[in-house]
Amino acid sequence: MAEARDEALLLQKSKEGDTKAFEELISVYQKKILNMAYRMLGDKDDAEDAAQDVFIRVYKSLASFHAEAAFSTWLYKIATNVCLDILRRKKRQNTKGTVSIHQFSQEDEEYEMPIADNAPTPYEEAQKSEAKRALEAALSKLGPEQRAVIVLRDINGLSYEEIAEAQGCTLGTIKSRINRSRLMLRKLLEKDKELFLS
Amino acid sequence: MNQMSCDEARLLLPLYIDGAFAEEEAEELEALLAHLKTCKACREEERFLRGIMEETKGLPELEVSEEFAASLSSALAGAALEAEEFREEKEKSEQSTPLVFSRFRGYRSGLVAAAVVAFLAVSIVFAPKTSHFIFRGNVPYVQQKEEKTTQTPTPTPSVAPEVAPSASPKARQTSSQSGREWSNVSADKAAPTQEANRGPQIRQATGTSGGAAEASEEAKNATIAVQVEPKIQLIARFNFSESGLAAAKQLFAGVPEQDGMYVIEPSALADYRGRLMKMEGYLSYKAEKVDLTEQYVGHLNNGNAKQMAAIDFQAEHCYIQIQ
Repeated sequence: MAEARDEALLLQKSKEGDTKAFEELISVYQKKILNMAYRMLGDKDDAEDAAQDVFIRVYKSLASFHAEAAFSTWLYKIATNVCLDILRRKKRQNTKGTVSIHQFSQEDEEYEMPIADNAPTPYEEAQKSEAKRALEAALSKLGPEQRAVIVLRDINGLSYEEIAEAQGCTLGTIKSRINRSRLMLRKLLEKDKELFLS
Repeated sequence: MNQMSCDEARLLLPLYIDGAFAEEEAEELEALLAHLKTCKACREEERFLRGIMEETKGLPELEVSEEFAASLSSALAGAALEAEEFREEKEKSEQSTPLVFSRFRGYRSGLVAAAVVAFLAVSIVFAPKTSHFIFRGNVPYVQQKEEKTTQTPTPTPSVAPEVAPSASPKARQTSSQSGREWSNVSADKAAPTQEANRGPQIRQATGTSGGAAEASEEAKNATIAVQVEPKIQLIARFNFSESGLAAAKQLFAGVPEQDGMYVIEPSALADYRGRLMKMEGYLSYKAEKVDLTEQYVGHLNNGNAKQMAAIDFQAEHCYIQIQ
């Protein structure tokens, strides 16, 4: 398969320090990892930072990758760890009494910051359907590992086996984790059931 | 085989919609299918779960921006350079060995000369050591991080001269160039500023803006500063009449005071804020001295109001002061 050989060649060149080859190698994954991070972290800028972090780490660790697994699987493993780390760190920073501040206007030099609960900007709001809004809110309520399996499965399209590798668990663990996550999402969306019954 | 109950069926539905039943689970799958055939409620459950899954798959995607790609490129270049330097250092140390070795053994002029030349050549190439940092936007990102770690509770920057609202983009620019400097709220006249340490301190500015004062004898420019310790300070500006100011103060009747500031619960802040902003004379609202993640710092310095999204931060107390 030409595809696989190309990746192997690019990988080899990347290991030798060829950054152009590395950029080509990761080019097909940039969007995927970016969106994985976005759905894990909920913030576009955090996602870009995290994605960048992932690719730099991958580049720096190339020497230790010996193609015992697929490159993509290894990549997702690193990405998962980066995102979970960030979420754990964020969790530690927020203790009691959190107050949220949100940028409101983007034109004015002075921006309004309604101190309310987590709400996206009005511009974003207008564009999203109710179902998506409800879903995003529900996703943000899932625990990190639960969110990760949903994101890897439904957003990144990984197989159960690939997810098991990315999270460093057995297939059985992933099966039950996905199960629980889906059921939890369903529970969180109970009140919005109508939106999801086409 | 026993009939499957609804409870059992619903527990298996996620696996089912993922097509993840293994060969050895064929019997369970059959039992589930049999149940679904006869159970309308569970069929609806299935549709619900599938609906959620489809909606998740259809969530809007981010595109890889040019900025991201460029930033990544330069970061990779930096990483590659680091790796290259490291390799050269290793080689250097390996190359110097023949030199020492030759010395002990006496001169083999040709070899020594060659080794010396190689050594020098390597040195020259790497003499100017560059420092690498990752750019984000216009501001050296890592640099900010370093500054942050070396500083203990931030000292207040000096008061910047008052900038009229129309000119404030300039104020923003100043703050971005100076890195750690924050744009300050200040009066037309120099107002005394307090050093902000940790803990509840309010910097407030008072004064009259010429035009407004002329327009109405009784008009008063007031500033209501809210500090949510220790991270953020929000300043609301008002142009109150005497009665308006009294009404504003009335809002806080009965509220405990500390050092001339009202102490309120964070959960009540939104309410107070809302009411204050509805008052006649309300002008504007600004966040100052946001001291959160480095990323947010970077955005604030760049004046990237767009990039400043939702932020959660700790608030144990909120303080409101009217002047």
